[in-house]
Amino acid sequence: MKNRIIKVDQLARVEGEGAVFVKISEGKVTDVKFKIFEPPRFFEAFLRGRDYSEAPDITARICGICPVAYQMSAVTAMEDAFEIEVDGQLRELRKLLYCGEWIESHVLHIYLLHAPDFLGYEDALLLAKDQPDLVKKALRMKKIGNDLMTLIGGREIHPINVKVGGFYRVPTESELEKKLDELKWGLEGAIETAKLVNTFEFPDFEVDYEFVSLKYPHEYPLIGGRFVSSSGLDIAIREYEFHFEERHIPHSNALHSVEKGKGPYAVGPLARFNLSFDTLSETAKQVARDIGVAPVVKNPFKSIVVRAIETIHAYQEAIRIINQYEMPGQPSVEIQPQSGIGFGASEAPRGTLYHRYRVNDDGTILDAKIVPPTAQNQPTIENDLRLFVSANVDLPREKLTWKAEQAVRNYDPCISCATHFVTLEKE
Amino acid sequence: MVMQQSITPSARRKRTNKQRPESLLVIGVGNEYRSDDGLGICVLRTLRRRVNNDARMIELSGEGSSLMSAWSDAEHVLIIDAVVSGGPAGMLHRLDAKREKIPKHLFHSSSHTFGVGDAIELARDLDELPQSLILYGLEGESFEAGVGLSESVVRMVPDLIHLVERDIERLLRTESCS
Repeated sequence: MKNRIIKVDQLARVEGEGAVFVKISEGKVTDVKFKIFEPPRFFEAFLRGRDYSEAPDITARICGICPVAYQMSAVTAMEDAFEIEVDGQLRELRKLLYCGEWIESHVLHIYLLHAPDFLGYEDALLLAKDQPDLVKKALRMKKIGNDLMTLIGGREIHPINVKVGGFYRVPTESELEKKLDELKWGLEGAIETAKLVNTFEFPDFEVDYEFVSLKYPHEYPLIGGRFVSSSGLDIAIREYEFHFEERHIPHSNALHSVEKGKGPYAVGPLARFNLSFDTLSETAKQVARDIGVAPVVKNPFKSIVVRAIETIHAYQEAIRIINQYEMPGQPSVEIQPQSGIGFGASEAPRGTLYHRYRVNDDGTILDAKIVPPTAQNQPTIENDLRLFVSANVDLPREKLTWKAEQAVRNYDPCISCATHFVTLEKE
Repeated sequence: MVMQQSITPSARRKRTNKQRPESLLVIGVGNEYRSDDGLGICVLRTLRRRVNNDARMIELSGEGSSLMSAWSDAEHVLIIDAVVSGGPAGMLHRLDAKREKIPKHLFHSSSHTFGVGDAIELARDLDELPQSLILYGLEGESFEAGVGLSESVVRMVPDLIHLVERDIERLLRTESCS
């Protein structure tokens, strides 16, 4: 057997830049590194000394794809510190805003970043040359998510209308109702999408993951709830750091998250789907059953199908929220800062995002901790690479390299979140 | 690192002709918390203060499909972003996207792989480019997490703003006559 090194210095079609390094000696995988590069945790340091009210807007800048996730984890953490609860229509509006982010992020990943892998195109530009109508449909589906974010968040990228306690301004019933026709069109599009991506050819590859996600009674996980896992963990968000820790790994500047006493774990669509299938919307569940996708999905390549099922859920949930919406009398609840520690978590499209803040009695942030989903998935991504490449060492080099990249893209990794910025390494 | 560039007023012109707000869209692309990646945002905010006209001005992260969505109802589009092409820091670029293809990795400084260049080329293939699209770039020096532009970039910002303002004036003049 030959010695081979598979190296992808610049990983295409993931958010940010990363590098994959796999060493094969005598037909066996001897080294795997999914490298991401992290400068000092700038944002955590940057938040120190800032007012609590700035946390949602500053952390939203960490990622252009999932700003709402950062805002929701930040505001719920602050509200936890100040012992207030935001519920009713204000919480529903937060979920609606989050549905917009799920729609735009999932559709972007499914059609423009991941589908080209399965259809044999190098990128979405080549896909568009052959199948322009498919790409146009994807862009329209995604725009519906962007439009929701613009209406509720004030603008689609880095929404500015979110605050601790609620919103600066809430939409009227008629403003939201205008979105219903497009959302209904999008729902049909998402159903077709799930059926389409389920016809893709998936490698025969399954892994016994430890899945971790938030869980909420009677709701598919989105904002708050409790952390649960496939091995039976069930803890409050404030207990997260008792059960999970971040470790420094020499080859990666990002911190690797592990479950104490257990090791790597997976967050994201597969975890949510497997741990909370019953709370998906009725149509999402029905389509999943129709196409033969049911928990427990252990093939990471099928995450594209689960992402499509979650997209159905997001459209249907958005329609439900708008149909039941009654404009709140006040756009936010009153905040009285007090000293304390607040914990918040929400489900970003690519997995659970945890925030912790310590604030003093005038609301100044004393310290902050942010654990993004990709940092949590990083050890799992490396495990997948090790197992997948080991099982496919006989594939031609070019094909194996592509498959290795695809195995990383299964996680829709937001490397810029995990690293807060990435630089390109060339050996 | 410099937080704010100083710009002497050289082309502060007021416009009173009423334009349809969709006709001209100026987009500043980037992330102000990643050093020179904040160029587009910084320039856009400066333009907002200096140019009083009906051009719509928005800030975006550089994610490609959101750019396409943003310009879908605009006739003329100007995009300002930081650039990484291997050229010297502060090097100024102006590209007419209707006339030339965007080099694949020129607008790579945003942290998104489906970025500005991808969006323009995808729109070209789908026949969804606006009537005109001008892309301005300044070669960045540092894209580390942090606030503020590098000296070499700041030095060229007034020239870049002058260039953009000249195009805004030209486009609005053309529009008002048509």
